[in-house]
Amino acid sequence: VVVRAAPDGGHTRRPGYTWGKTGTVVAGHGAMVFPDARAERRREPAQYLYTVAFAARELWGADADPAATVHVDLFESYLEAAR
Amino acid sequence: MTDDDDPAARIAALEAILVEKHLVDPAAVDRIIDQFETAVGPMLGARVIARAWTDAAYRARLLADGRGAAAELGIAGIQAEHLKVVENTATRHNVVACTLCSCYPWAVLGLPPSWYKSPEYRSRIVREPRAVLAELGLALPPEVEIVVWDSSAELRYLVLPERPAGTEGWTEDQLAAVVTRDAMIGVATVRAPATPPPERS
Repeated sequence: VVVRAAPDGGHTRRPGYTWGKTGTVVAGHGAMVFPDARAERRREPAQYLYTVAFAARELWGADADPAATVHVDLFESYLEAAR
Repeated sequence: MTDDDDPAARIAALEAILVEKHLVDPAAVDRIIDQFETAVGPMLGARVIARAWTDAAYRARLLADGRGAAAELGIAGIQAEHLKVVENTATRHNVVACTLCSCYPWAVLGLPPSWYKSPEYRSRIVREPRAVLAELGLALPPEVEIVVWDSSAELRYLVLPERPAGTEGWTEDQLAAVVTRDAMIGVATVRAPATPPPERS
């Protein structure tokens, strides 16, 4: 999956370092209240939450640790299928 | 508000106003503070880890369902809702962070240490985990895989450290006594003294 960049302004739980990066879904956690909406008191349906694994080199470039991985929990609307 | 404001004084003023307006009960505030000072802390996580080291079936349940396994030991409450336990092995080391704020497994570790909340730890642990761990005293060989867990949503992570060699035959209480908070965050390993700690009476 690829992480979409967050819109300007507003609350989000998608760390900036993941924007535009490609990772692999390694776990699903069912539907959870979507904090980006809750923070602004918008009533929106719950969203599926996934743990996505990113290779450190994908996030930080070729100089990064080849044996390091970062796992981030991301909501469904943050993600799109990687091509 | 200036940077010089004393946070403790600010909190005391807030509490005084809330009490004056009958919005909070001071006894309830005292009870919550007492809870986090005495009842909730790393000793809870240490019991979970020691049980997992001595009971293979419990270990399997813990890795599959952190909340359920913690509840078996009477551990529940705030932020125990979505507990995920991640297991260290000889070839894989896990470390926990929260880059966006300071999410932390309160239910099993209590209040986070101040360095965990520092911008330096939060930004560097995801970018150069091996260097940060080495600075914190944990030198991992390059072939050991490092997995950083960035607590960005509702899940809270707890590291299940490797049981140290030389602890064969120790009781669960003796093992719990050597499990440290830092090992359960993943910035240290558990080391065993040459002789087991005395049994709790």
